[in-house]
Amino acid sequence: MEKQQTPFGFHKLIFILLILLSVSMSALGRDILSDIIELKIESHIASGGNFDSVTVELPNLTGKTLAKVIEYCKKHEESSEKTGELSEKWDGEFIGGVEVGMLMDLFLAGYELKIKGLNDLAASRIGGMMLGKTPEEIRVIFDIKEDPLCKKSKSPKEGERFARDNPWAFQ
Amino acid sequence: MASSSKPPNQLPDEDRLSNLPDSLICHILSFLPTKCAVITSALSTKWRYQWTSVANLVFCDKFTVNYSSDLFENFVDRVLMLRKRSNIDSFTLACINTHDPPRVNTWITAAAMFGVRELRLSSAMRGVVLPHNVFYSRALVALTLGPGIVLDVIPTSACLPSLKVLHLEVVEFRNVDTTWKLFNACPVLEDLVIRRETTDNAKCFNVCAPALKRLTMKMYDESRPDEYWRTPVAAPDISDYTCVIDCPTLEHLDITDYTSVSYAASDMPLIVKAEIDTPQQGEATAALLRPIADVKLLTISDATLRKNGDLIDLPTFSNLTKLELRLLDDFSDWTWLLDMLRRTPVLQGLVIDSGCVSRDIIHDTCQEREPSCLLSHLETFELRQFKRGEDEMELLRYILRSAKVLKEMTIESWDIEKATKVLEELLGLPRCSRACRVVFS
Repeated sequence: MEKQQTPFGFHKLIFILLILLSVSMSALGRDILSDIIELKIESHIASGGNFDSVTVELPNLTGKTLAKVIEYCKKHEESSEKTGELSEKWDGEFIGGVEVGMLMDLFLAGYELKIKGLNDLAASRIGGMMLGKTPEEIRVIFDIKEDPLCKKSKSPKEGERFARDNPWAFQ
Repeated sequence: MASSSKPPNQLPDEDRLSNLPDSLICHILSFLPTKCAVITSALSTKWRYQWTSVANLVFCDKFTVNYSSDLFENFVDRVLMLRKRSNIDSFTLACINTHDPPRVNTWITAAAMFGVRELRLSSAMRGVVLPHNVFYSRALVALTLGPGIVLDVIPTSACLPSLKVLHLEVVEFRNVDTTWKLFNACPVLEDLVIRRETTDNAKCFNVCAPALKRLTMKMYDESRPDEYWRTPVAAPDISDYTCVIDCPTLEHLDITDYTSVSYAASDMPLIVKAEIDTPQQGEATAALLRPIADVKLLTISDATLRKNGDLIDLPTFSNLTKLELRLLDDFSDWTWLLDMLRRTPVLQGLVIDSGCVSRDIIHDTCQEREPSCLLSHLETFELRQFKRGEDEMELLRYILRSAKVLKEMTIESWDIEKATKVLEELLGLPRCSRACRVVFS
């Protein structure tokens, strides 16, 4: 089932539902899912679509990412019930412990599932990894490719030339 | 099945960051100081102008090489010139160096013109006057003014219709009626935090804010050497300083004042929580406590409640359910505490933070009739930083003997050995409430 090349469809939804159950979903996780389905149906109808053939597309999420998303949601649900405020420490440890690939996954998941707290947390972590770094260091961390065309020529790299022409930005 | 292979249309790991939509890259950059956001322009052509769409600007001259004023001023000028002409969400300017005042003024003016919603300013250089157009910012929601910022004459027509949060951290006032005019211009202000020093020129500090919910006011004496930016100055004469508080919808009040400002406050019927620390001020404190007689949670120090040993003139706190007392003074008996408890008829929880003073002399405290809250309401009692002084034991004995509906007594102590001994002793004492638990933490 995992090897299918089909776009997301209903079977994918069931797949995700199964994952949700397997990580002992709380009410919050179900809410998120139903919210997003509702949202997709709404936008489908708003754009003149026929209700008979709604395809609910769910964001690109691996089981591993989803488990992380749910861990985040559960923690926040618990602590908002208990104290009304969240421990920044927990957030920091949660996001600090993931590698770059997962960080990007969580950032996108937060965005797609409209979990603002998670989206912001991941964004600020990604930002934090750039903080105080040179362009070259940032390229290494995130595996950012310089423009391929410039690489082939013998002239200095485009980025270096740009930095030389705009000293104000790099001092 | 849950073992996750990658979804089919997911990109390979490489450069997923650059492949994000522009709006998401912009979101990430908005968490960076502007200096670091601009540096990403050298990553690749895709990144060249991403930073120009960022709506959060944070300028801090400590990120500039050698903290150079010239380089920093150039940088801010160019960023403001090159960024896309969209609104500014938040603008932060924090300077530890001296900069050309007209330029600083222009930057702040520009931020206000671009509809800034959150504005934060601080400057190690004294005398940065807040530009006039800030007082007409319709979009401004949160304003933080730090040390070095001056509030000069505020225009009579000033209006900040959206301002909800205002922090004034050691701001200088140039004019007598500045504070009144400022708060008058903020019809929906809900949160106000003020840190003052006695050199701020605000002889009459007038907080009259019709929608204010939370007020925090800290007033420090210059001679206390605990602040890093302070240069010692001769303490000015502030005996005629007054502070007027006219906030009918206030819910939280937090006042710390180690000077001798006199207070005039009008009634606050919606007050829920108050924290008052104004030691040895007698009538000034009483004038502050009378309007908050409806408070439900009160934190206060003994030095605030007493002047020259006597309890100040207090109102009856007829709704007070939780009282937290911090002991600072070295005193000789608990009589004042019983007097205090007589004014809190429905008190359910009492916390005493024993602090770091020692007291030895004990008077028998049960001569008079017990306060009524002990007979019918007090359910929890907590003693923090217990040191097993005889006076503390006396208080514990008294509470156990008198509190008829006490459910839990908590004693916080670091010394387990001592605590065990005390526990044994306490368990043997006569108890008025059968249901009472004694807990050590």
